[in-house]
Amino acid sequence: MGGVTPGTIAFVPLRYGDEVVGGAETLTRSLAEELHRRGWPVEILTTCALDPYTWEDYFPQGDEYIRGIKVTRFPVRGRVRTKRRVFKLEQRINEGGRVSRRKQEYWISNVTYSEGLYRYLEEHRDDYRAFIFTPYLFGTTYTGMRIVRERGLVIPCLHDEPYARLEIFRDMMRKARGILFNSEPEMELARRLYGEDIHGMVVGMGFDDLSGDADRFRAKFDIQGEMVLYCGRRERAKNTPLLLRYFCNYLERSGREVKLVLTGTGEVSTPYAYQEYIVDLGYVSERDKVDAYAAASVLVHPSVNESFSIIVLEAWLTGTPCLVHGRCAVNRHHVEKSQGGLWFEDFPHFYECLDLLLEDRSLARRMGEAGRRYVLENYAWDRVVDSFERALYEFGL
Amino acid sequence: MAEESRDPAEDIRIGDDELDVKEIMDRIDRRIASRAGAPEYTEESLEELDRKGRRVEKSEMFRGPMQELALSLQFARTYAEVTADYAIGSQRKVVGPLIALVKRVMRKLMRPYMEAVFQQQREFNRQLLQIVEQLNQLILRDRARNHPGQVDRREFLKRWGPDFEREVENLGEVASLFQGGPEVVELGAGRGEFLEAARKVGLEAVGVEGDADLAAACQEKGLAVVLADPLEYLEQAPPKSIPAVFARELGERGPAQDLHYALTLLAGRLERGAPALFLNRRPSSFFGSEAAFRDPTVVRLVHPETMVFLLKQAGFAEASFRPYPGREDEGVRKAREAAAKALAKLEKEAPGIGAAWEEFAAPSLYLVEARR
Repeated sequence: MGGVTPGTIAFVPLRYGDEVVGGAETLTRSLAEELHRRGWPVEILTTCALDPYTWEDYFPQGDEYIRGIKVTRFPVRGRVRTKRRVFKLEQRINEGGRVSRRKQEYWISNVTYSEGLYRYLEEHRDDYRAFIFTPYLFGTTYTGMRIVRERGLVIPCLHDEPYARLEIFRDMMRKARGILFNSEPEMELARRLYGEDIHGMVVGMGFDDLSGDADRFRAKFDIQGEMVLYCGRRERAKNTPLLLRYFCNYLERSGREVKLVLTGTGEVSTPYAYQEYIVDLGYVSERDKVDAYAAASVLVHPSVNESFSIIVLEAWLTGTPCLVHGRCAVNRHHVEKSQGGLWFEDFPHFYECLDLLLEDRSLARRMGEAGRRYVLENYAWDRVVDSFERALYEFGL
Repeated sequence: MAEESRDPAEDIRIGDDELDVKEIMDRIDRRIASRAGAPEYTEESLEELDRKGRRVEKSEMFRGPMQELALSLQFARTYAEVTADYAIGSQRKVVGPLIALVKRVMRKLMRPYMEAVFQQQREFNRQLLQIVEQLNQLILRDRARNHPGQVDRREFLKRWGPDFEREVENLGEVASLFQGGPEVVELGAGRGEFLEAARKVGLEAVGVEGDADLAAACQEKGLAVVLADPLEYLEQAPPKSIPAVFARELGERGPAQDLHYALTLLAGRLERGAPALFLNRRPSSFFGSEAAFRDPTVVRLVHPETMVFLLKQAGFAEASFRPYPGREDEGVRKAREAAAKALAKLEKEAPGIGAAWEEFAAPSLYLVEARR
């Protein structure tokens, strides 16, 4: 696998590659690529997995270079769903039940496991300046942090969920040399859960300016008329079933001709009667995604579990206002600070907010512009890389 | 539908220079509190909404083949994974649990035999889906490549296009050629100049326009227009269902093969004996070429003889063309007449040369009259 350049920073996400969809993964890729562009020695240590449900090996094992960055992949052993005990433990954790430390250790060791990666970390612990693991909720992060000890940092991408309250993660966060948060609300949550004295700093991710071509998107996908957009994984945890229910009810109650366009991975169960109004494009390229932001009247982000919300910030860069779930602290924080959209927590609010954004185009435009200003002022790469550098200095790395 | 609630600004009232999302949310809260129990705030489950199925019935939207393909693919994906693991139950009150148990046992016993068949079916479905999805990707890539770009045609026509009223007058003669006949379909309605001219002579006409802004411009004038790509509209139209057709600048945009494809489609969609008129720019006319090459979306001019040839090849019974001066701009007319005079003079001095350049001063448009 070749030698390691002195001072190299290794990012250790569970999945890595252009085909990988996910917030933590996109964040890692962007940060690593930006650091590489600025001449920092950066490497990626990851697994061969692509699918976050099956965790089957997909990419070939070994080294490859992606946009000049060396990526080393190790085989992964996924979540062993068939193990009744693991499944039951997971259910119990999800329900907020008490689970002993020993059982927590047993459970996390089954939530993705990569012997090759662990062996590599053991053997090369002293060859790297720092190892940055992400996100928190995987065996590779938990075990990896224990292996590299004082050289380990974590980008947790923390959500307020039962897993975050487990003792094993409390321990991991408290012992970590440093935690790189994506946003202020995420750091506040971590302090509430793990104590005020954890070593954390907000770094986040930077953005280059974006502009989309709405006409190109509409021509390519044959979509006419007003459209509302959802981008990202389609699953219960992201609240997509709620979005579909609210949107269909909105169509029915308002009588408005508007489409909901969804992009991303995961199954969408569209009611037959609304097939013409719900367009599922599945996975689309980065360019198509940016064009979709530009074509949309509103981006709706119903998830309550976000640590950063790349999608919302990207949509703002193209001038599109956002409608977010009010119980997502991070998104609400973004919206309140930027003035770039509205939020809902129930159907009447969804109805009124969406109706207002679709009806009052001048207001929607001003919100989009305010959101764009917010991203350009707060998430420029220079600022983010400065924060990253300061964090390494503060953590003594 | 709660029509009275369609104007959210009614009691939220957002000023043009105002942007305070907390204040807006407060106003929304107050509005919701004051209208508690309003019908639009009631929520139904997706199953209930799906059962009613009202949206499909009342929709009059045009669904293009790409959307049809996307919907079919979605369906296919849903049912591709053939499985025996459906919910087992029974409606019977007393013996229900026993019946369900027997069903479960039977399923368990038969599973090894059924699973082998299902496995083959699943594999076949996966392969088939993969092929269709790859084809879909190829089509999408091709469409993206052929996209005309970011030209705002409505804005372009406003700035550089002919004056709308003048163009309506110019097309009056074409409209009158259809007069007394059946409804005319105009492919590529633009701002609706022909539709307006048709309305003036009492002719029923409907436009097909793929540019949403231009279609909206037609709608604003109260003209009948369908928002659809003309080629896709023709693909969707049943055979021999169009009684008459008119198109301007046919074949001047998009890939070259589209013209031949459009004419072949048209031949199949037009009723037997149906009239078809096409008004195109004449490539040999200086004024036709000059106007065409100002338009950034034009990629070629179609020679009138080529157009006639292609129409006949596509199956049209008759096709011929003639110059179409229409109601030319006064300046263009004068310039053309002056050029014609100069060429006539040149012909006298050098026989053969002036005649060879005669076309140069011809009217900028030609009209093709064809019959299916």
